Amino acid sequence: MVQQLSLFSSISKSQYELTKTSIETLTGFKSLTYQNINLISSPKIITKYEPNSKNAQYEQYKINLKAPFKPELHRNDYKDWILSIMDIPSAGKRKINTQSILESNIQILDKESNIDKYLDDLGYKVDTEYVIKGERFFYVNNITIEIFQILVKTETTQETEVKEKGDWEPIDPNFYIIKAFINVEKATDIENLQKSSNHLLNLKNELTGLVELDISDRNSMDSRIGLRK
Amino acid sequence: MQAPTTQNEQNIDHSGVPIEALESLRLRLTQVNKCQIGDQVNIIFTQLASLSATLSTYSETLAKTVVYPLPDFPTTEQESLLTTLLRKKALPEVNEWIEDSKKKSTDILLKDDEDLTDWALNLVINQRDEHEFRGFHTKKEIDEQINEDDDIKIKQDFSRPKYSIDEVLKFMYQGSLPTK
Repeated sequence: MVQQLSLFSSISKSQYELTKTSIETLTGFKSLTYQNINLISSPKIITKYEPNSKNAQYEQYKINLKAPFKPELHRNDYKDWILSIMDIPSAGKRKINTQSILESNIQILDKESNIDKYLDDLGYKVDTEYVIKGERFFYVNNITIEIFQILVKTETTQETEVKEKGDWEPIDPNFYIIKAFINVEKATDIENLQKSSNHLLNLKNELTGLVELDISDRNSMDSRIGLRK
Repeated sequence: MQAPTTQNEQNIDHSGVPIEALESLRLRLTQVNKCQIGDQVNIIFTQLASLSATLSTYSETLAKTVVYPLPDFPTTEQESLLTTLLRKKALPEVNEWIEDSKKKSTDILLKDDEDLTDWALNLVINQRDEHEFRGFHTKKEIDEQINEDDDIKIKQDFSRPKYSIDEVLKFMYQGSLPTK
């Protein structure tokens, strides 16, 4: 389980090249492009919340799966996945998102099996599928900066142009999301968490005027099944 | 040269002619010949050259030298020497030479300068014609009539994001996107 400290921002397409070049200059490295397919899955049976019952402490989470994206493949063609379960970011007056993430590698060895079956065995089913396309930068003090867009499958409304797999289109072609984060191994490593927070805040200061990195609403990063909401 | 006035016209009254003075001049002039004049001129030149060399050698010292009379200096007898030595400005005569030579040299320079100015002016005009310092286009582009619509438009982006960061994150974590 890692603690992920993060800050977010968004830029318009017109700022993209400038921002990319600036961050490349800042980090001193060329960016790396990456694209992931992401699946969000929810439990098939949602435990009903009853006050004062046994399951009052019980919390169900959505499961997020990701794999390197290949346009020609269906999600059931991918064999290697990274499974992650994310807690809601810590509450309190904070300047930086702090979120626990549990991650594991999933390898589907059985040729007959696929990710849908795997999730089915866990009692989960895929809700949403999206692709992240972006650039990744590595900066000193273990900071990773990502500039990305989220793509979803277009709904093929036009009957004349039915595409079997559908085209992946950005949900907002004119905007990019920027995420700057540091992963800290242990949630108990207070010293390292404090140090990393300062590193991120320094980066925030450094990029002021170009990109305004900020903490996001912790509720938007909540992947719990919203029974109590 | 040898007393022409006495030889030439007989009927002219010679009473006004200073014969004695002329006679003595004639005597003295006979002693001077061309060769001698040449020698003298050479001596003067040599003297002047040596003086000029001496002055230039000691010019540094001389420029700093301050002349002042001692109490026992015979001021009354040597007044002229004193005034000459104590003179700070150049003599009017010397000033004339300086002005004269300055004028001459300035004249020459000015003449050259006019040509130089003309040349420089023409060069500037030519260079300016070759370059266009206004607008966003090179002369080549204007000559070739590049279409402005092909330019990269640098404009302020006033567009608003379709989804806020929180909405995008919500989609990434929960899979729900507000319909817009």
